[in-house]
Amino acid sequence: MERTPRENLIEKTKTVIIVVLSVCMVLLLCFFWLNISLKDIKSFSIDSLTSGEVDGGNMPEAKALFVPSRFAVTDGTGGDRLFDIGSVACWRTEAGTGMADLLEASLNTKPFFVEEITKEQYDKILDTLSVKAVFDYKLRFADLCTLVSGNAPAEVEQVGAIEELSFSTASEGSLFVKDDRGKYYRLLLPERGGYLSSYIETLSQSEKELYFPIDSYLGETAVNKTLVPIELYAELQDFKVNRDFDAKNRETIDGLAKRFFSESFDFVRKIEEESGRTVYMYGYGQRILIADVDGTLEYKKEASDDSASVSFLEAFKIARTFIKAQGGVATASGDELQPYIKSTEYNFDGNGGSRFVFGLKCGEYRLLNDSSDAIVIEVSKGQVTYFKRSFVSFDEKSAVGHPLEAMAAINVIAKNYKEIYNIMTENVLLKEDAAGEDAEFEIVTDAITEISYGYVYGDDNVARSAWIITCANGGLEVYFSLYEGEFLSYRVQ
Amino acid sequence: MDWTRAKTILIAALLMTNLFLVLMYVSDGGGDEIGIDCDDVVTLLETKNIFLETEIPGTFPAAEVLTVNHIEFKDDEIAALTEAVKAVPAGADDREYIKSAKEFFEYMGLSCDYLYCTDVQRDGDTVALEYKTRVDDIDVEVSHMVCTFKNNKIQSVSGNWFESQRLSKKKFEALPAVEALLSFVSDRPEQGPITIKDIEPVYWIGDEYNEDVGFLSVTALPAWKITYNDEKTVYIDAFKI
Repeated sequence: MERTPRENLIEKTKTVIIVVLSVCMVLLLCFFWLNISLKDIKSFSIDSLTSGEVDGGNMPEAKALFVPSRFAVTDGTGGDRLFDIGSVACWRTEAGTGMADLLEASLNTKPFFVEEITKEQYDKILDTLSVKAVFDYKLRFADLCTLVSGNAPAEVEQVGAIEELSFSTASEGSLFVKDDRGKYYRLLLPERGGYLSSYIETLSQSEKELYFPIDSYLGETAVNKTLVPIELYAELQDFKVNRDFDAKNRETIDGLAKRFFSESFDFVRKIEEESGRTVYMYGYGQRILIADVDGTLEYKKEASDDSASVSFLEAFKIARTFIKAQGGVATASGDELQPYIKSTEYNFDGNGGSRFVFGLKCGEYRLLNDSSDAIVIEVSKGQVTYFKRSFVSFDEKSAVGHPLEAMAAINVIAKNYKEIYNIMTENVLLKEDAAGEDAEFEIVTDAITEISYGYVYGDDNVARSAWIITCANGGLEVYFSLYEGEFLSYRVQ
Repeated sequence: MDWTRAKTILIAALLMTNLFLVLMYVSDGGGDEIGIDCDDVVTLLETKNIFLETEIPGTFPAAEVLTVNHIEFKDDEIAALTEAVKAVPAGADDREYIKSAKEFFEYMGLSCDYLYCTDVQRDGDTVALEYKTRVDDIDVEVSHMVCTFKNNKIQSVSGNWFESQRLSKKKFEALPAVEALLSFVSDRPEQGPITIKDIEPVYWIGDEYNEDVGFLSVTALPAWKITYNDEKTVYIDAFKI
């Protein structure tokens, strides 16, 4: 029987009513099951949807960050060429020919073989065409193995923190490890690293500047194997940097602070100080955030006692998640930055906590601040208890100019050793005073542990191309202008 | 199958179910928490050797967080302004002193909406007016000011003054005083018998104010101020997160 248009309309209306009533019933049941109160409904607002919600920023994974600080390639005839990880294919390659690939293959070999060797054996085998992957920060070899292959065999527990992972054409079936306890090890490879041999041979013949041990320029009695370039043509030039945020821009600072306190931000005590500093305080100092006038953010949180400590790599995951939640490695204005691991500390608090310090790079060079690091983050008992970030934005193109001859590093030291000596004296970094100028020079050259170049900026927000001379086992960095060798500033770590 | 009749029956069933659910939800108090009985709390306090000498207030009388500005008193500016204000007539009563002080505060650029005179002290030819910042009948702790008259003329204004700037748009869920008392019990400030003399709602700027640092503004959070034993005080947050 055909329906009239009126009957059709009634049927359609009934269908709509059924749908509406069904939805209502489901919602009411949800209120019961989820125990949603009337107050919750009343207090629901757009604010509650948006407050505390942040877009996760970018932060590289552990595998991309825990990599060698540099590669030193030698052809065995004297002199090393240094390469940044981004400029060579020495670590990981798609074909599986990098050092990390070889290490992974070695770890997955059954049975895995590692043996201790002597320093003499190590030095001898690397005195031919070889490559050293140098780690400037502390990373237990077992943790490196976990990162490289997903697990660490029990045999690698005997190895301390890695200082060098090396490969030599004199023993293509092995990898060599130097640890922070002054011990040396040989790892057996399942097959020879023939491709890496050819690759490093190419690198050893490249146009990159040659580095020699500093003691080859000093007297016969000097013993310091820190590498220094004989001559350097560099393209680095000074450029302007902008601090992360303007302390007067309250809206930006509030936006950054919301990320730290999320849903509880409305109940955070905010103190705007006359100096321009803004302090956010939650509870009775349980969580504090300071947005300083120099564009740094510093966050502290009390660790709860009932939490258990976590491993170093687990702590890194927690730190990474936290950094991502705070916008990642990007300035408040959204400029993405390039981080690297500057230093790490195991058990910094005596409770198994881990500390990570990140620096920034401009191209393949380090961009240092003479008073703070880009990110410092501490994880204690599975929680982030301290975080400090000091970001700058800049135009990377303006950092590169025409190649110019830099003042030779050894001449910079000869010109400024008194300055370095005085800084070491002022900062109590010397065990005893020198007797005479020759002794001062000797003390300074003995104390040097690294000579590199990059950019340094200070309060004037100008990043200057600089020689970076590291002394006192990393306790002091002194900066000199790259081309003139003039003293710029220094930093006690 | 007669779909027309089936739909009608379904609509009726759904209507009844929804009605039943709504009634259940409303009679259940909308999922709200069960209230705490004041008498039970008093009994509990007494078993813990804590005695109440005051009534337990109900809910917090406001639902916003307050931001206050710190006002710095500069002696040279105050000295210059005192010249502009007329002297209070000899033998004036408290109201006239308060009126004269208010006029002076207006010269200073203070907002008189939140000035509250709490006491007038007389000592010979000196009259001291004590003020607090009060917003919607709630005191701002620890904002205070003393305006001193000498020989009927304003001599000085001193204190640590915070002026109301704005109330938050977002409202908080207040913690009843009775729950603040339970918190007081769990974080008992001292051993031995405790006598609670007063429980009052305040806006609290915290203990962090430091004259050397100097504040421009600070958030004053709602808190219950519990005064016990010899005028000792404890502040307990009066909001739930």
